Amino acid sequence: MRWLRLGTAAICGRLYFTVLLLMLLAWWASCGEVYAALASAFGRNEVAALVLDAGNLCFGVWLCASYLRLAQDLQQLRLPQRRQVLAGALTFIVGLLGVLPCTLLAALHWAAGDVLRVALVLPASFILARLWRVGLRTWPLLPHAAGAGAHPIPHPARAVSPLRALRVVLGAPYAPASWSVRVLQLLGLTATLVAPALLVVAAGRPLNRIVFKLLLHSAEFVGYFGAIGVCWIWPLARAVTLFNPARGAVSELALLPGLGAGRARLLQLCLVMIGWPALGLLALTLIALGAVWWEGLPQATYWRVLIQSALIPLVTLPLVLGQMARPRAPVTWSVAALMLSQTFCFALATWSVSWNILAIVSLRWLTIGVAAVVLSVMVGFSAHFYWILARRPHPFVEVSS
Amino acid sequence: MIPQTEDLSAFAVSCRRIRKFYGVRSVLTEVNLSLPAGAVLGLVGLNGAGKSTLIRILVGLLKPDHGTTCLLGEPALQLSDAAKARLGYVPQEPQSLGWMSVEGMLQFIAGFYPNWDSEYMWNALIRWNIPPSQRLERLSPGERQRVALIRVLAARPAVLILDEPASALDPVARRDLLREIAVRAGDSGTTVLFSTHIVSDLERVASHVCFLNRGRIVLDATVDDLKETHARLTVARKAADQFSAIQEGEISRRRLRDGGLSLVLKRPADASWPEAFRSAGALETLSLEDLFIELTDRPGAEWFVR
Amino acid sequence: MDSEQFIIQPGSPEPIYRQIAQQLRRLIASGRLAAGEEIPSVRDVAGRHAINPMTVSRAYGQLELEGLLERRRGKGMVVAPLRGRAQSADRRLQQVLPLLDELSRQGRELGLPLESIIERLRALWEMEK
Repeated sequence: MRWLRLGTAAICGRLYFTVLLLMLLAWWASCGEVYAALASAFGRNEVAALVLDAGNLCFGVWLCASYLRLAQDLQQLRLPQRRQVLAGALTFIVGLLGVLPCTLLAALHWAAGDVLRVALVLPASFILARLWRVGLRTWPLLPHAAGAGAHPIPHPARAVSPLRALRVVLGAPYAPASWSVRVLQLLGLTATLVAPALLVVAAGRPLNRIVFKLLLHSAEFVGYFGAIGVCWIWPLARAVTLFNPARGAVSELALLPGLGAGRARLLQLCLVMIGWPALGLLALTLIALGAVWWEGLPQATYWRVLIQSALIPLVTLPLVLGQMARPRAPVTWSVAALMLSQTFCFALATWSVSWNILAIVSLRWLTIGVAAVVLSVMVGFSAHFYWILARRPHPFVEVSS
Repeated sequence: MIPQTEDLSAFAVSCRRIRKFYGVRSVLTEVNLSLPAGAVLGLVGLNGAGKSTLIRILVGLLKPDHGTTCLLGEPALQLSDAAKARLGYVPQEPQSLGWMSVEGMLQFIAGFYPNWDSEYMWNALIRWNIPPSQRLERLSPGERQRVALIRVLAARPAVLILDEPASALDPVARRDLLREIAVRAGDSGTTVLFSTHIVSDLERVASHVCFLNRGRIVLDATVDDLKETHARLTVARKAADQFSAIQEGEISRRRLRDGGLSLVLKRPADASWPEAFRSAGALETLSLEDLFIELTDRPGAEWFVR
Repeated sequence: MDSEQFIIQPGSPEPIYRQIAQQLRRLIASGRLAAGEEIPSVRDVAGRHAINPMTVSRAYGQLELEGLLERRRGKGMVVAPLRGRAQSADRRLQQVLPLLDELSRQGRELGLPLESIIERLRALWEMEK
């Protein structure tokens, strides 16, 4: 029991694990609901099992990757009793992802095939986690990793315009890169956008038509969101973490001559940081509107897409500016996760609000009022943080509390 | 110490009454520094004494809570482009622009500086054995530091500020760097400020030295004067009673394990040591390293800030 | 003369400029540096030993004041000719004063009689000849 506790603590000792665990349980509960709903409506419910598998797989890959990293760390530390610790951790993982769901499903009398599929998620997670770690190791060795070529500036030394200089110092994906790299990036973005929808189209033929449409729209939503993450959230998160003094990049930006002074630099910085991602966002919105038109959806959907696209910069900019104005800049993925979660919440709100309530006059004004308040809060925060940044002698000054 | 009425902009690098807090912890307290053009200042201090913080404040990357800094006649936080073109700064662990290749980064930076010396850059790359097409983040820390040094030296700055430049260098490269600093200080009157642990480097090439201990400047003088005007007096236990009061020119005292006393004394430049000291015990001149160790805060030591 | 011939000890309690000046004085007094011979330039010495040029020029300046070195246009610093730098016995004695000081102090500490020290010194002096 002691090793089980130690192993568990080693893998999931941090606070966010509790949060993720709660999310997993919530996911299971929602799968149960989906199952019940579909069973009573259609009598077929593989979908529920699929959804459960998907959730378990994501969590499982993350858990198994942590386990593999723990194993590697313990081996390098040459701890005397690492086998016991690892065994404890493994027991925890198998129990959480294998034994627990399977017994639950068996107790609820799900089909045997479904239970088997859920059980297979565990070895699949291990394999995927292993591939993920191998990929992480080889990624930096690839010549076009992170979208940066070895010689971004082929010409001999010449004066560089401030905007270009900012782009270079911000690094990938802002930095100038060769055409092949840009094409690769574009392909990656397109793949993120259409892959889930294509997957559903390819594998969902035998399903019921309504369920198929539902899955297709969800897949399109997921794809769209993934593309937003890649083209808007990720670059902004990377740019914000530049302000981490430990990384030293701030000194480069602050002390390069010829880039102007004070407020002008802040404006330039914001322009460069937001410029290309904004264009990408615009393109994605147009694509989404086109998809809506092609599928002949009702008019309200156009509005929803537009509102959601407008919400994305409104929601993320206060976060970005707030992180820049704070004394200690955070890690890239935590900023990205924060932005993603906020956008997701607002997106869900946009899509789940029914237009019917606007027919009722009092509710209409209430909705408009709430929307106005939320909007002004977001714009207000952005303005406030921008003003804090503008008051500094130059935007790259380190501040401490 | 600089008199209050003196104009800061007359110096190449200067600061007055700098105070910096991280939360409630005081990192720098009442720091005054002034470096004339052409001087080479070595900043010595323990880890955590505030060297990097002070350097970042001098360069304008960190805003002090109190006090003013001046670099090339301008306030450090609002340097003009002309001043930035004459300034070279290398942080302790250079990490910027890691995704670029060595050659790419140097070509990129060259476009900003009007005085760029390409020939020096290529010679240095060859002499220090750095592969030009390798990406910066794949270099070892020593190579990375060398590239950063080449970057600032090729720009031919008027003021060079280096934060522990030799920490990752091997002895040959370190000697090369010191030689470069010495020659530039002589030829073009470059003002150099570098922080270091390696006191022997300082004794070679620095004209001024500054000891920083727990955020305060404990000593600030020219190197030659320091060695001539400071000495350590070791007093045996039986004579220790005579020295119970603070002596003239005393900077610090420490009780030895056998009951004796070890005093660090300073005399005025043109006087000689009083006879009382000579006969009381062993009076010896100190190397900079010994002097620094004597002046660093240790348990059992009492020291007096002048 | 080559700048390699200087021996610089940065860790010693003696300032570097004093070390250089002392070594030059000895070389000149012993005759190993002839009159009119060129001294390596400040930049040369500073570059070879990685020391501050101001230190070197301070040493050279001091010797110039003492009359041991001369500045020649186009040639840098050279050893001054004999008639300008007649070193009196007093001057030369001053160079060994620190050693004598130390010797007398240590002798007193050890409680040695002066005569035995003088005798030993005489024996060594005869041997060197």
